[in-house]
Amino acid sequence: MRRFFTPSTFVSVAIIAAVTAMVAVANLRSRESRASYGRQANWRPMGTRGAGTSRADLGARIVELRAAVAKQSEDVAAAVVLADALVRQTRITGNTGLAIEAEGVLKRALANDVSNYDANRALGSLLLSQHRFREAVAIGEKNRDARPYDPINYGVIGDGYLELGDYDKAFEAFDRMMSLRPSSASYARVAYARELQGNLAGAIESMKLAVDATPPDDPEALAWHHAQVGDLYLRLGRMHEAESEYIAASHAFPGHPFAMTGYSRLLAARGEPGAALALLQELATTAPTPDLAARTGDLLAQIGRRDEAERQYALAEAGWRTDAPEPKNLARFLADHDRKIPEAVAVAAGAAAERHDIFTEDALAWAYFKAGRVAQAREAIARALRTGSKDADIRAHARAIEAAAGQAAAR
Amino acid sequence: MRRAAARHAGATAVEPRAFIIFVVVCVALLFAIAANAHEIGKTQVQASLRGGAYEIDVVVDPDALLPTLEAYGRRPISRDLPRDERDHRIAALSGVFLERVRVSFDGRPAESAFEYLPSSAFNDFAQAPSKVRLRGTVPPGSSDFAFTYGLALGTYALNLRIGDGPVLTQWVVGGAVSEPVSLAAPLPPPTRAEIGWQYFELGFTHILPNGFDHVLFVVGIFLLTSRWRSIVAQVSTFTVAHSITLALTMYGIVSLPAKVVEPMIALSIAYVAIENLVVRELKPWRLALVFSFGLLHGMGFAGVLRDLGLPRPAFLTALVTFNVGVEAGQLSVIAIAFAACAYWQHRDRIAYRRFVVVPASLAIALTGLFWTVQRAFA
Repeated sequence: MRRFFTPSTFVSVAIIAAVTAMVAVANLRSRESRASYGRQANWRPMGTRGAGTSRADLGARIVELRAAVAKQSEDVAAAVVLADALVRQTRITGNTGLAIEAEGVLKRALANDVSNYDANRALGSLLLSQHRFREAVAIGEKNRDARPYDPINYGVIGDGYLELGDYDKAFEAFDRMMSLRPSSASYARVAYARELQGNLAGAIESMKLAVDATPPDDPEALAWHHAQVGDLYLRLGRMHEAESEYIAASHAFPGHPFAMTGYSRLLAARGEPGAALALLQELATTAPTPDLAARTGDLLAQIGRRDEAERQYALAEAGWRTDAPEPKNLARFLADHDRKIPEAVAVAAGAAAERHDIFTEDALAWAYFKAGRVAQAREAIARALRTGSKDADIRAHARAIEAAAGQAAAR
Repeated sequence: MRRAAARHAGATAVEPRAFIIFVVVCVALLFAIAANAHEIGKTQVQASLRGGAYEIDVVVDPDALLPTLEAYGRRPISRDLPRDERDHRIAALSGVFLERVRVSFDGRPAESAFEYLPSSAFNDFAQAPSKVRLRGTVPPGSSDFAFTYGLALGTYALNLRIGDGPVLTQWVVGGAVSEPVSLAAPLPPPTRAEIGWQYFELGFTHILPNGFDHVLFVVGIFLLTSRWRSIVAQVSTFTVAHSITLALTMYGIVSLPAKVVEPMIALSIAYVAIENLVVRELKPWRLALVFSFGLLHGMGFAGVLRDLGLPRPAFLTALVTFNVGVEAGQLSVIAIAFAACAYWQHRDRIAYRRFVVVPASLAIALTGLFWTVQRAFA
């Protein structure tokens, strides 16, 4: 026993104890220790797992990611997730400058790794959000050639062609996207394609599948999809179902602008313009847009507050000219309100030279009609009707134009 | 029609001074367009704070500004006014402008002087944007600045420069208060020496006390033999090898996934310790193996350095000083181990091997194997 308690034994025991203690400490801190050998920036795209998209989550996430990207601008994974978060924030706040910030983030990351697939893929979606459709299609096609089995690329290509009015190519891309992987993104696109072709019941069915396929921890996307279903029900005149969808959207993401706008339309359609007006005015305090001002003006005019309506129209027109240029909407607004019709025609013609989607053709047709150029209005409205859309405004414009053409022929 | 006639009349009577101003404005606008090719609206805000005063230029489209001011001021909306009259009315609506456009310091609104600089000052340049200039003093002791532009129905760019600092750009929605910007002078950028010291410290602390696996590897090297030449040969070989892969990885020339590197580093620790149990002196293959293991550990160090981030202006300085810090950490481990074992190494080598080298190597080997499995299947 005495021989066991020698200084040598003490040293051995001390060394073994020290090593054991080190191992214990190292394993207590094992996550940190292991991560030190790899990239810690293991960012996951939003809405998959672990990263919520509630309003607070999104804001906090953006602050955190901005700091990470500022520290390491070449961290492509962080740049891609930040860009995604900024695009979502753009959708919620209407702050389109955030999309420009997102583009800057991605381009700085791409400067170090020009062929990085994830960053190029994110750039495609970003260009769409900035209405740079031709560029989006070009980058989407490049990404598709690099990875032909990634469905997201077909979504970007399809969206781009859709906005440019090349519907055959758009629908073909959506079919391919759907066949590769049914998801909330592909169901939503199929829904929009069906809506454009006048199949509203089919569109609702697909958009509901998109709702079901949306991860529950992505409340922003959930709210967006519910609001889309609500809009479709509203178009069919099914008020009760539409209301349920807007409420579901608001429950998922309180104050989502798409849900609030849709609900105000529903209230107006129900004959409650005062309540609809209050909702739009509330929305205008956080996300003012020319479109919102124009709608507000229409509601004010409906309840006889003509002077206030004129002021809102002035704001809408000034906004479309300076703050949020959207030629198609400006032209349509001018024609709808019988203001500056020659300018409405010029603006709509300029927009139609760039893109041939049915809504731009409708704006052109309506401007021609208001300018008394019925023959050109007929040609344009025929192009607007080419997909078979049952859009109420397009149909109403078509009827008015046909009636005017009939009268002209009778004379 | 009237506007077109006025434009024509102006074009035929251009004075030399006005022409120079016109050219200067055109050139300035060309640069502005190039610099802001992706800007959304026409409204831009350039704010500058310097010497206790602020000056904010809001670049506006006067044809849109007047109806906007009239709408918010609840006045009848004017239509098709001559430019002089339009500019006169804009200037007269300064009160509405100041109601909707606010400058604040520490959340308290500041009083601004309003000045309207119409595009007509530049003669006949009908499409030129006009400017509204707000001036005022920064309240003493203020710590942050914020701006609200309640006349935009969309997004505008707020470009802010404090003193001689860089221009900070924020995208703000009309009506929303910008994010507050601190007025404290930004810290001066660190010097090369400061960066070097900072990364030396990071390298050192990555070994002691944070790098248990590297410590065990170095202790494993130390335990093989008590001959200092053998220890120096192994440590130098390890250093050269990990310096090579650290640099190559950081410059993006070589790369291995962490899932491969991590378990192999753990395995290298186990191997060195197991070899200590069966070999008593330095063999040539041991040096070759230590070199290969050094290459792996270098990739591990690079992973850490990448996570820390390297300052672009001093990339090489940071890389070299981090490496030197790692070396200093390793030498410290050797020195501590030597101090702890020197007495036993020289008094009784057999007892040293029996009671120090064997149990310690065994413990290290088991730990290395445990980590290998853990990292491979994590």
